[in-house]
Amino acid sequence: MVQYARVSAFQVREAFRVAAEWLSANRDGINAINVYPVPDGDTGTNMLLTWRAALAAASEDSSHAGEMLAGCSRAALLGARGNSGVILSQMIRGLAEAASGLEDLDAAAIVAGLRTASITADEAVSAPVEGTMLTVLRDAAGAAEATLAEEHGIRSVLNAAVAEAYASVERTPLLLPRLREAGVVDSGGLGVAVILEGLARGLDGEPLPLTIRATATARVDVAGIEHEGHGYCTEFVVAGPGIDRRALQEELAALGGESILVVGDARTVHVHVHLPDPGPGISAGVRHGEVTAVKVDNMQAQHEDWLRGLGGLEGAEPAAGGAALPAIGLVAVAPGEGFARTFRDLGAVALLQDEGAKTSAGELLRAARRAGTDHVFLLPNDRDILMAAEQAAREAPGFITVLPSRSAPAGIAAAIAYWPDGDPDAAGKRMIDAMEGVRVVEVSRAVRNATVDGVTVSAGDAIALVDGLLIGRAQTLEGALQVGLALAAGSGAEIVTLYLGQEAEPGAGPRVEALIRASHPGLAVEVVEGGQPRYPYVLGVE
Amino acid sequence: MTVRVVTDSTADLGPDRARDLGITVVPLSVLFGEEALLDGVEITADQFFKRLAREPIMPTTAQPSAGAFKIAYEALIAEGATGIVSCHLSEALSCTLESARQGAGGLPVPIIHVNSKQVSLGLGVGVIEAARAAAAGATVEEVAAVATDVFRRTHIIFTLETLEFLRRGGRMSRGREIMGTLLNVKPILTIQDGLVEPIGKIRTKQKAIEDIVGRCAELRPVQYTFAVYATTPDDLAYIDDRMRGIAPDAPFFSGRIGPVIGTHGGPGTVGIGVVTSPDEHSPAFLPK
Repeated sequence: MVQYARVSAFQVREAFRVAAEWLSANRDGINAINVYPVPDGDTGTNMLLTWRAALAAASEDSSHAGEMLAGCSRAALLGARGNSGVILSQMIRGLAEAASGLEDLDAAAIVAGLRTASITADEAVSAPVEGTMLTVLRDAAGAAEATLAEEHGIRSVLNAAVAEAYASVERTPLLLPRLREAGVVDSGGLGVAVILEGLARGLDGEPLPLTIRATATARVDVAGIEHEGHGYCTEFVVAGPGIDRRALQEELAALGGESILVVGDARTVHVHVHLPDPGPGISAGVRHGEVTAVKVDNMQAQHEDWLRGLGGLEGAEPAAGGAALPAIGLVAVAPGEGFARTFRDLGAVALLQDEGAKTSAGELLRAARRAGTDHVFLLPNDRDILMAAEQAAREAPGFITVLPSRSAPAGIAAAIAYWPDGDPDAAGKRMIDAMEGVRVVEVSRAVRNATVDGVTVSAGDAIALVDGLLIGRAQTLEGALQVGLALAAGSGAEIVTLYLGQEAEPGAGPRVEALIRASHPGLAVEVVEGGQPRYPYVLGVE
Repeated sequence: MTVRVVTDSTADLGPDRARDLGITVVPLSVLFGEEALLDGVEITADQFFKRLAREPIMPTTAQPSAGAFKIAYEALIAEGATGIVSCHLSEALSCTLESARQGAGGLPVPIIHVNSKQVSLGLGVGVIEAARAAAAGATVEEVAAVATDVFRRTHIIFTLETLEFLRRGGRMSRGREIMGTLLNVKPILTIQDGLVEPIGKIRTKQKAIEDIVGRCAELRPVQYTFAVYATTPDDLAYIDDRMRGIAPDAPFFSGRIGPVIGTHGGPGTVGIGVVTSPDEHSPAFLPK
């Protein structure tokens, strides 16, 4: 096999194409890697669509690698979907910056490209976490640099990068407790390794492997990893005059608490925390008021039961594959038709979230341009669209502001506070205030056995997440809803909005509404169609 | 010389206050189908809201006839009025003022018509001030100037249980389709240039009341505050308390929304108003 010293724009384009092909082959496997036992993983799809956006901009006529990559970079920034896609687009940007002015690339340029890509991506993430795609690319760039010191063949440096990337993927659970707990590797990291492998094969002209990487490496043997830091899932209620929630939260964190939720108002708060020792946590509560309804579960014991029940990991199946414009405009991403209607009814331009791929930065940017004349606020309404929204905002500085809504019910609260004229700063503040007063309960069924956030669930269990944390399980969806609501409602809540998902049973609305009224007589309840997939019930609690 | 003040039933003054101040109130009508009832005369607020909750048909409203105004003006002239100031519901929302003008034709004393560009106690407070000026011996021009000045300084902000009644009655100035009908969002509205203008929306009634109290608290300096309610007296008590905290020295008027305003606002309507203090544009003649 030829060991190229330099590659042309044509070869780089071919490498991008092969990488897209390889990523496509591995997409379902990457999608299936999901910390939560709900089949909503779409990292593979988001990365693939972002990569394809870059590839589509790589002109076949281009004879200048640096210029071609600059075009790819621009296209990827706008085509980026999901946080993994946004980070990938920043990697492509780094690669393009390193290649700027170069007509063709040698090994040193490629290694510099990997390093710049890594640095650019690190800088794009406000609070970088190790054990993610950032780590994988950094490790791969390091290996490529070490190889370059010895030899200058492109194939040698890329092979070193690919080998190190896969090794780094295997290490991600050691770096990131959530992955370890869930027994998976990082999906975005695997995506990076797959792309690097595709690029290497494409530059080489070597055929792609026959085995799909994603299924071979998707899951790690959790039984073989020391299961640490689980301790005790501790819940209690604190009542008293003037409880400082933030102080209590900080005290619990100082005691080694994880998955901390302190919800309620100044008079009553519900606390949910995982502690190595529950005693000091409860004592911390006592310092703030009278403690009642204490519930402590030994999560280690739960985990051991789970492993015993499974007979190791054998039974653990991976998830299935995956008018006149107002002065101030609002764009909202809606996870279902019902949510889209509700957002429009409140004056927003609603973007219906496709199933399987996240809304791209470019889609958000285009929507913003038809939403308002002076200033537009973006409601991503999803943790995984936040970075794409921020990327869109960077394209139109001073015009777009991202309101970091992490869920659709939080976005609805912001949209209610939306007003199309007045002072944009005041409008933004009003919407953020409204959004922060919302707790979200999501109810679904686990599709596999898993331990997440210290809660161990089996396939088929109804599960409840509060503000994105798995907090409990039950036999029925309604039971799980009550578990979530009990925590989310605290004592300060006034109103609950139930959003019925695609999978809610016919007639579920009035039945669940009656259940909530019976268990929480002080709460107003409204039921609307949300139309969201996978979560039959989503609740916004204000 | 005796100047008398006339208004219509949408001022929501209540019979006692009107009588004590010598104000003549010409009633509009509410219609349940074919049945027309004189606002505050043949149907009280209590009766109206009970009926509204019960009846399958939605009521509508009608302005007084020119003849009704003619009779009212003639009665005052017979009592010795030498001039009449007739203040009415915003002309952009109702033809009441047009009827009043027609009813004044051919009468032997000067009659000045004032478009309050207000509704409910927003109209009522200006009428009370005008009546006080008249009682203090002001001329017909001076009384009209006082009323006009108070209306200019009056700001009313209100919230509804639902926009349904306002929409049905066609009294929304602009069809801003951003008000949230799928969720039970509470609209925040004001009267601007005599038109109903939406200015905000809020999720719960309690927060809506806090919001309008907050918006009113920004209007300063304060001469009077007032509040009106349709069916929720507890809201009025709460607002009274809050407004006394915000403007402790300003007199507070309260009133109940009558059948005609109730037809367009619906049950649960709550409004707060502020009359800001007289300023350099206010007429020199003002009663104490």
